[in-house]
Amino acid sequence: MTEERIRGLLQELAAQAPTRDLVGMAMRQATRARKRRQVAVGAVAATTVTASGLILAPRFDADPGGPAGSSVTASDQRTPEGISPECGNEKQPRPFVPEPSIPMVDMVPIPTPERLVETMDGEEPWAIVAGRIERVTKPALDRSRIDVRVTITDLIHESEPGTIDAGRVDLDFWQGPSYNSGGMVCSLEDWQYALPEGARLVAVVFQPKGRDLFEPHVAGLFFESKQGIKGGMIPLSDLGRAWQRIGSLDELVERFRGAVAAGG
Amino acid sequence: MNREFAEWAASRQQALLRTAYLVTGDPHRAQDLVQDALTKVALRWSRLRSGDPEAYARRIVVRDNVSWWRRWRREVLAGPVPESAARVDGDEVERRLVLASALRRLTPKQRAVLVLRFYEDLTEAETAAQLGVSVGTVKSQCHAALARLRSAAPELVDLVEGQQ
Repeated sequence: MTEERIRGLLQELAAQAPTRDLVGMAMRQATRARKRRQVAVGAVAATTVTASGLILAPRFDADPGGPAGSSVTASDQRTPEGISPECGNEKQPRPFVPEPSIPMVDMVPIPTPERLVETMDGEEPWAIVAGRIERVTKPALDRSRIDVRVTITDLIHESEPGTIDAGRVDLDFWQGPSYNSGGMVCSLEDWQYALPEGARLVAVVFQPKGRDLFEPHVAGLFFESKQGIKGGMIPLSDLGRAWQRIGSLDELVERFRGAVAAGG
Repeated sequence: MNREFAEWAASRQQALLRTAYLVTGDPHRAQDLVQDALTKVALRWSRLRSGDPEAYARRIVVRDNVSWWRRWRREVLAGPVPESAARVDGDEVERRLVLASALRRLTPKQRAVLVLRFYEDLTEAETAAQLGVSVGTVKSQCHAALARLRSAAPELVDLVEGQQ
């Protein structure tokens, strides 16, 4: 195998490289990095000022809403009074699920929607759905859970016919930690505020054995935002940049649809 | 500054994507690596603009890939590696598949050495500088990579020799 032949083969393979304009993305990322540096410098000064007192982190950064003409997004009903301070932290924006539930998550990053679909092939029934939040409630018998009912607008995939029925799916979430006094750090009202009725989402859900309700995969819950999509349980920045390049929920739906078709 | 960087990046991103694709074999990882590399170049543009920003970006691509692989190798190794890549018919598509499969059997550093030496056409010294290793390491890694291709992917040798 001569070097020339290796060279020729590598050139053939290189021609299959993806074509993508990454310049704008890189420039935006660089701008954000510069700002973070500036914020870091500022934070040192702020810490000095407040060193003797309680640091009240600002709430979630208010999202200006979905694309023009779109309906509710998961954050545009927020007001300064919306979420308990303990539930939100702008430094680590968890825009939809109250933040205290997040640090408990342990996961291996799943770099792409296609890989996520591959990982779902197991014994548990699962599905991919697009829909809108119908209501957020608390089950009477389980004080640590939150139920989120989703009206399905597009059933993208179900592991077996009939996995999802009646055009809706009830998602089960851990409500988050509680105080020693017994109260929940993130109240039902916080959840309802974070997940307003009508908010659009795409979810990869599975049904644990012996359970009626479905749970979203920790890397499989996405909401619409003005900038594209946002991770519901894990920030896209933690999932990987392939997710950040997805421009809309519609594009995400097509990616999932393609992944399912390729696998099936 | 922005405009100058944008023009440079637009003209070089595809070349970087090709290199990244060759060293990773994964189009999504390739895009991540190049985006990262371009971001780092953008942050240092005032210092790099008069030098060789492409060499700097390429160095980030190959080194970050090796670092990433060390961190996530379990996940990578879990991916499917076909026992026999393809039938030996000799058309272009098949050659690509066989080569892609054969390259997956190399370590990221061996892959990077092959790509830098034979695709980027760098000298051994230049390759060593890109990877941050000695020239001796480049030689040994290159030798090992070629030997591994021959032993682990004999179908590739058949294909190549069939073309001669």
